[in-house]
Amino acid sequence: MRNKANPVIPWLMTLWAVFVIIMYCKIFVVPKIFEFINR
Amino acid sequence: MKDLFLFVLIVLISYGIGRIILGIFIKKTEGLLEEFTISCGLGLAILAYSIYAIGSAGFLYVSHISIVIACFFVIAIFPAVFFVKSIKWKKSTKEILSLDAFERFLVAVIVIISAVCFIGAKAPETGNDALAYHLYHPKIFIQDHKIGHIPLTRESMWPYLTEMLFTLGLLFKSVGLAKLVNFFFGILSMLAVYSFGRRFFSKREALLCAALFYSAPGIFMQSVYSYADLSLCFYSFLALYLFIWWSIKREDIKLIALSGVFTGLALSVKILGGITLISICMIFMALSLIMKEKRILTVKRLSIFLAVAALVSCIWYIRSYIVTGNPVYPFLSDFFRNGWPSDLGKNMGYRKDFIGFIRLPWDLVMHLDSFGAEQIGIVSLAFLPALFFLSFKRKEICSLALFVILYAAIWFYVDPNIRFAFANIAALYLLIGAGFIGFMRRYNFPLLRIILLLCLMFNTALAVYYNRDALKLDLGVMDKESYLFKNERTYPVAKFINNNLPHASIILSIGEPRVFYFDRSVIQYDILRQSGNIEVNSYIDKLRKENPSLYILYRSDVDYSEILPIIETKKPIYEIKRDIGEGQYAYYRLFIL
Repeated sequence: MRNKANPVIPWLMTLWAVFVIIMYCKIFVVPKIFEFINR
Repeated sequence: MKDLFLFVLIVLISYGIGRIILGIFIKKTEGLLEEFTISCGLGLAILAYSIYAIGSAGFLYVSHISIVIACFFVIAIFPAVFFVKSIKWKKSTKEILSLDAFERFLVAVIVIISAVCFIGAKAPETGNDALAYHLYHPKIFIQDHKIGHIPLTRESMWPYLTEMLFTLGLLFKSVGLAKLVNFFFGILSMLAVYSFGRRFFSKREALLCAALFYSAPGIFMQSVYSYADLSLCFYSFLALYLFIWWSIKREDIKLIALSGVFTGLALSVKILGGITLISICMIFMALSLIMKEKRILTVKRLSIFLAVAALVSCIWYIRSYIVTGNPVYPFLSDFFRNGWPSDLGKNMGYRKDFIGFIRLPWDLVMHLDSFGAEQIGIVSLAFLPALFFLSFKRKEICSLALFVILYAAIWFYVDPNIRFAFANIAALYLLIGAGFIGFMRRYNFPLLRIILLLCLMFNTALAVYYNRDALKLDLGVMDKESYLFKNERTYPVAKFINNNLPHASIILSIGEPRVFYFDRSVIQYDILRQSGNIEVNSYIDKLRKENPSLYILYRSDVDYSEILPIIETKKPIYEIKRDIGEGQYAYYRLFIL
């Protein structure tokens, strides 16, 4: 029998995805934007 | 226009020839796209090997190659016409119109990135390795009318299957054609991912996997340079594809042989194709153990796979062994006693221990500079938990996952450069895509779908941003000269050399490997130093005596102290400051020796 869907799981996945995107922006996107502005 | 015409001709020939060969192995394919993808893979290989055979015999002339192309065209035209006739246009249009908004968005992402990369591929070459050897060596082959060993080079004895196709492009005076062939390998890789999804998953999953794979910045950026990594990815992935196909249907031993053909072709593209060979062999044995098959049967099948792979690829390794005494020159120099100790892979990787392997998904995205600076794509990490929604009981999922882990483990140990793991990225995105659709079926959570679409939009924007100058060039806003002056650091130096130095000049390049635009003989000082059996100073003295037009091109950021006394007393005849990437600048100085 299939397990009952846990409603917390999609929110956890969303939280992880948002965390990764924020970290990526912090490391790559924001410095690139500043570099572009300062050019 | 000439580039485009030749490109269409090559696609037509590769499909037609490949379709005939494919008929030997497979009677029925899943659809026209699958048939087209596998056929083109075979056809391109036949074309490349033909050029290699003619070139090795010393007949690398436009006339000879044109005759071969014409013969191939006559053979290929019938299967190609039959292919076009068998496309059900009405049904295909209906299918496209019946896609929902999510699927249409995925198609749009693929189409936009393909279009941008197509324009990028038509622009002049600026890739580092392309200008150092992928295109430079074919240029030498054409000058010599012969494909063979180029003295004082590291790469000319490597497997050069892709470079044979670049040679074809350069032979017809079309760098654009060489680049478009590589672009085509990118498209074929994407189509292979789609076909895999279509065969084993569903149309929706197939579209998502193809879009995820092709929108990975590392993949689409490789499409615009003449590199061999996309062809390695394509052939490696097809080898895995055919193997999984066989392992599920178990219908025909010919599928294993075809998987062996593609593994052999991966080995003919790069020595690193060996990772695919080892990974597939290990999955083969693991599946046999799980299914408790008779040992003799496993040995027989594995022998067929290995024999075919060896047969297809052996020519490159044999010629290297005959010429240099080392089949993988200059690697494994201690064992073969020729070559030099290689630092390949030593500077790659963020952490080279078990913890480093476990945290690879994170490091590949967040510390990409440690892995060759190519981008695997943010989706691979942000949506990695989608893997929990896969059913690993399914054989194709299990085989894909095994391949990802095994390939990653060997790659991590050998040379963890992202470029060399594109086939693995294709398999990973298939798993992530299938897992994501599985997750959506269970939870139907629109917020996560929106985040995924935003990530894909971001990647599409990156594709446009990275190719902005090529787009300007295509729109006529920028001319070819300005494009090269801005994007290729060696272009002004090359222009000076080509316009002012005698034709018989020899240039000793110190610190600059990108010499494709130099229309003079070039010797790489770096290789001279590393090759060990040559005494550098006496070699330079000998060159000086033999050739009155000897020049040194010195890049100021390299530190070769032994050269300084030679050039310190001289005044450069040309000097220019150039951006050498990552915000660093260097002076290029040209001296008469």
